[in-house]
Amino acid sequence: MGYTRVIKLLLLCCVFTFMTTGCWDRKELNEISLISGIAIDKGENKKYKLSAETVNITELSPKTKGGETPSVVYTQEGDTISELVQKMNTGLSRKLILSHMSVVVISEEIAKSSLMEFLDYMDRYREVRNDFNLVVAKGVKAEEILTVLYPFQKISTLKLKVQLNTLQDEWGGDPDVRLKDFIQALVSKGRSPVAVALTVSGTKHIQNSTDIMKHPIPPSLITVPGMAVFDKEKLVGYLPLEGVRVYLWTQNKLRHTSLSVPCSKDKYINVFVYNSSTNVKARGKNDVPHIQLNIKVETILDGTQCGADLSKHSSYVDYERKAADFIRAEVLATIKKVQKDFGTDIFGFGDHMHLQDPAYFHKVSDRWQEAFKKANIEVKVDARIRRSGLDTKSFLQQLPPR
Amino acid sequence: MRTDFVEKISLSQFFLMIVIFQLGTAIVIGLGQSAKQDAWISVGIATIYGVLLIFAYCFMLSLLPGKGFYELLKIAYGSLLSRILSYFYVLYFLYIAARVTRDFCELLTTAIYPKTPIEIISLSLALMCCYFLYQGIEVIGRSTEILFPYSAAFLILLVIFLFINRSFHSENLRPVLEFGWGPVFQAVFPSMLGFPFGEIVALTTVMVAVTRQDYLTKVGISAVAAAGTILMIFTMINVSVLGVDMIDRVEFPLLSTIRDISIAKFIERLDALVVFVMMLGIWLKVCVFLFAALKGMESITLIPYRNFVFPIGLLVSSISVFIAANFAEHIEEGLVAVPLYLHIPFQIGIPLVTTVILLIKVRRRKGEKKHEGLDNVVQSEN
Repeated sequence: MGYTRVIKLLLLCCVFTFMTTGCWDRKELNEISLISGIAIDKGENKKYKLSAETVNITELSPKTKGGETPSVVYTQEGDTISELVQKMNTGLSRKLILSHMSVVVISEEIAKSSLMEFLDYMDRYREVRNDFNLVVAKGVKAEEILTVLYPFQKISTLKLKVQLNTLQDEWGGDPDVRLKDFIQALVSKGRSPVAVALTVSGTKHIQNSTDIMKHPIPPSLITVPGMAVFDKEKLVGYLPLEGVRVYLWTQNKLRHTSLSVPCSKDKYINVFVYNSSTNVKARGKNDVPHIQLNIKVETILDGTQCGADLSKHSSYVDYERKAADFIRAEVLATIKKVQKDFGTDIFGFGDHMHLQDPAYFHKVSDRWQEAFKKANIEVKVDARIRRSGLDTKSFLQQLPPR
Repeated sequence: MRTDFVEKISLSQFFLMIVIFQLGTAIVIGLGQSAKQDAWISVGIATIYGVLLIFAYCFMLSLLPGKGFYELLKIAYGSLLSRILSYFYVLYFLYIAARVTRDFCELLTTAIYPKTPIEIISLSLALMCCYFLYQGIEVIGRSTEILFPYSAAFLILLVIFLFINRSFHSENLRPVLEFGWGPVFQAVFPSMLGFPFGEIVALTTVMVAVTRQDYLTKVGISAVAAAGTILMIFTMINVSVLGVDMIDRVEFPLLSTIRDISIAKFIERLDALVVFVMMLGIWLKVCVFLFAALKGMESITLIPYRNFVFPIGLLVSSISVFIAANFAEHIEEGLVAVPLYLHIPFQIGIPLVTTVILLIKVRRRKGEKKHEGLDNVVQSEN
């Protein structure tokens, strides 16, 4: 009896050694290196040229930093992104992890020649999350975006992530497009994708150096000129920053912004929008799509150069009307420009049509872009100024007459 | 080796077993993708079918109370034919158990362990299920009761997180019935008849163990209805979070849905919750299918089923790897061949014929009983 018990115990121990080993796929922290961003250019010999920015973690901590470079960028050419990521060790030392990537930069060339197939890999690969910014490098190579360091976040892409999020939150300058949104817009019949555009401003020759972080006026800086407009997978042009704000308005995604509204010749009032909501109505009438945008904004008056008496309700009403007119004009101008210059529905009016007038949309779904071009756009703005800061009357009114 | 003894499970255990059994894989793999944004309507229709089905199974078992599914086959078809039928049922249950194991392995290798060999995952699952089966159906029932609250809490948590994350886009569910009822019914017939609702057929072997047979039908129906409602809600959630195009594209909708959650850059990567929900469902499904198969072998060979547990369990683990060379083959078999050639005959055909035969036999014997005053006719035949 004792004999069998010993055998049973040994067997049990054997089983436990198998069951308690833990994860087969484990990777220790000192075996991996995080990719903070990648840039995709057109290759000279192969299809793509991939630059990956890896983080030198010790340089990011105030305790351990020693003035070395905070990031290492390595570039390779190949036909698929997947292979290039796995092959980065021709130049880099550790296994690369994609899951904390914060920016993917696509070069203008790639976007213009519709080489966006690599997005399939991004959508499919389990390590890639849906939280990185998809950006287009305007007028510069994509890899250049990765090499401009910045004193606060050190690494170019980490700075970009913070910059874009803040820009979107405070002014409405980033269209807030993530991978899944981009793909959703690509496959939808009633929408085309957009992506924020980035460029490098300043002198470029010293950008590839940690010295760049030592100047109070950075010799070169990554700035946001606006937004790239796609016709499905092909880049067709750019919209300026105001266009991004209008885009966010149409998407009901605008959080805050600041408007300079003319009140008389060369005089402006400044209103800060702190709450905004948009409702899109789409109907097909006589074979022409009618789109109605109802925008409601709540604002605070931040400043006036005209000097009206803001203790009176009538001046509020006057300014509200002016602000509404200004917003209407800006929104209409951008939409008209997109209709005329690009002829591609980046606003997703087709998706609204699909929901609100499916019968009409089914008729035109295959040639929706054509229908969008001649769509009738109507914008109704309800702007409210709620309060006017610490002053009621402006001191401009109290100036002694000269 | 333990000898067979009478095992009992309570009504609440039975209820939870049905719910988890139904949710099992279906909640993660997703249902009715071909019906686009109306998938939830398809699930609703399939739920009605599921309710009818479990009513029919309970009715069949209530004809001769206290008899298991295989005993009913014996009574209906006689010794030889019933053995052949039982043999095919055993094969069917083993195959489905292997398919379910494979589903689970595919989820784990895709989502969590890309470098771990699939054999290791399937083997560890199979060993665990074998251990449970060796302990008996009572232990499985009790474990279900203990583990269900976790699964339910995770699902509720998931909905709350999605809500906080503002992931719901109800416009993804519109326009309702865009292409009419056609695609909705096409999604139901035949694929959703077999999976997940038809699979209750394996539970017929467990139903005998339920203590209060008088409530069996009521509890069964309410459990299937509850499971169907949960599936319907989660189908709606998946579509409203991911959108129709993406649902069409992804392998595991619920997994992709949960990856959408990112609250304050802090609560994110909750894949493990979905994997737990699925793991519980898969564990129960494999256990129940294996139990059904083992009971069948018991009724053929008259040897207590516990003798077969480990060899058969290991067999299932290896079959699960061999049945398909890749994931697409596995899914395609599941969508094309299995519903038509396996699910319909084994879930509907044979039970229906059996019920009719039993009904005739029982009626006739009741008549004989009245005229000749015989008792226990049914037992004598047995």
